[in-house]
Amino acid sequence: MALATNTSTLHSTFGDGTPAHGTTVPAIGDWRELIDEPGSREYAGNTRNLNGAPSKQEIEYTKDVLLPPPDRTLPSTGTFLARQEWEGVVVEVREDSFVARLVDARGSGPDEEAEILIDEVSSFDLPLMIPGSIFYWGIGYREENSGQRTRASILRFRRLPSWSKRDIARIEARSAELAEYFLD
Amino acid sequence: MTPTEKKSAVSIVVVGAFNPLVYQPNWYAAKGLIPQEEADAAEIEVIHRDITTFNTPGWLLQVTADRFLLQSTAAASFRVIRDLALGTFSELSETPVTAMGINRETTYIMDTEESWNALGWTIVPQVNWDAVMERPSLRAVVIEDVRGDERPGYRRVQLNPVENVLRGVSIQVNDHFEFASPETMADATPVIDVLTDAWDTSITTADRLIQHALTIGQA
Repeated sequence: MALATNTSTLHSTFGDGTPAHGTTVPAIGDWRELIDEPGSREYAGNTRNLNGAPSKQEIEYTKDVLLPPPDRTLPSTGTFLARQEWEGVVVEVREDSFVARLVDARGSGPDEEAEILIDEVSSFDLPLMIPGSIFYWGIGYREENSGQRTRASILRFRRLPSWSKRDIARIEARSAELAEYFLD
Repeated sequence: MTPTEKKSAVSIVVVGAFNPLVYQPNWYAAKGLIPQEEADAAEIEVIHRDITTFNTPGWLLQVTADRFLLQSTAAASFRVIRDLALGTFSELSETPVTAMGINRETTYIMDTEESWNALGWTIVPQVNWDAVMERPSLRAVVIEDVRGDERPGYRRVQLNPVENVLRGVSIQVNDHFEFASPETMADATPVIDVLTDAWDTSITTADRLIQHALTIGQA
């Protein structure tokens, strides 16, 4: 059974030992310490000597070696686990709230209309809160590395670039294809 | 008891030719793809001609000369990074690309050691190795399937135990889209098409595969 190779587009975030370009990654469980200096070295070893020097398992990398991606198995700010997610459209903006039509992002629940407090909206998204704008809303809990859980809500408004002439041309071409297909 | 979800992430990887210096927080803010406040608060690890890496509380970006990576660990931000990638490649539509992957990455804690072992040993039976190994242990397994649509590529599911996490299992789904060879790179149009038309199916399929994997070997 073949294992994933470096030509895949899988991003290895779980330290499975899949090598990055030109590097040798120590096996799971080895610690590593990056010294940010010219000709930096990366040490991989299970132990240190009593005086703090690295053990014999020392692997030296040159500056030309591609840096491996940052280890994200334990994000410093914890992780958010959503229990409910919606994609919504603003219907009406009121003084302290807005009314939105919500579609279950997981497709398992019915569409709903809800009144959401403006307090749920980040200050930088307030200018986007106009009728017709799309947002994503997740409710769940945040778990810190310590295991502490807190209830959390993340609401973000959609930001996309304005349509370019290329986008419009692409859509028009595609529409023409579909029209030809259905009308023939 | 059902397994407990401990980590849930989505990443978008695009293989092609990039100039890492372009992909800075202020560039994203200038294009209106992220708020200026988010750009100002971004934690920059490095901005260099060979690599740019920065992160925000909800997502991280890393770009090298041949790889673009956008990852989110906040479920409510999965569609945000889709929009970010869509915006990036709409603004930089001439970017040469050869392939992309939509990756769904999860970590679960199995409820008992028996169920944790049952998962691994059902996929790769330990009995097959007892005669030739002293203490066989499963490190990783990858299963590949065809995409099932008209797009060239494949879908791979990788399972492996998580080091230092009791009864932890990592399940990753790599939905790989092949666009062109390095000799005949395409522009970013295929990336935009995939993010627009195939994203929902990719995520839904990945979640279904992950939930199926968690039932393997379970009573």
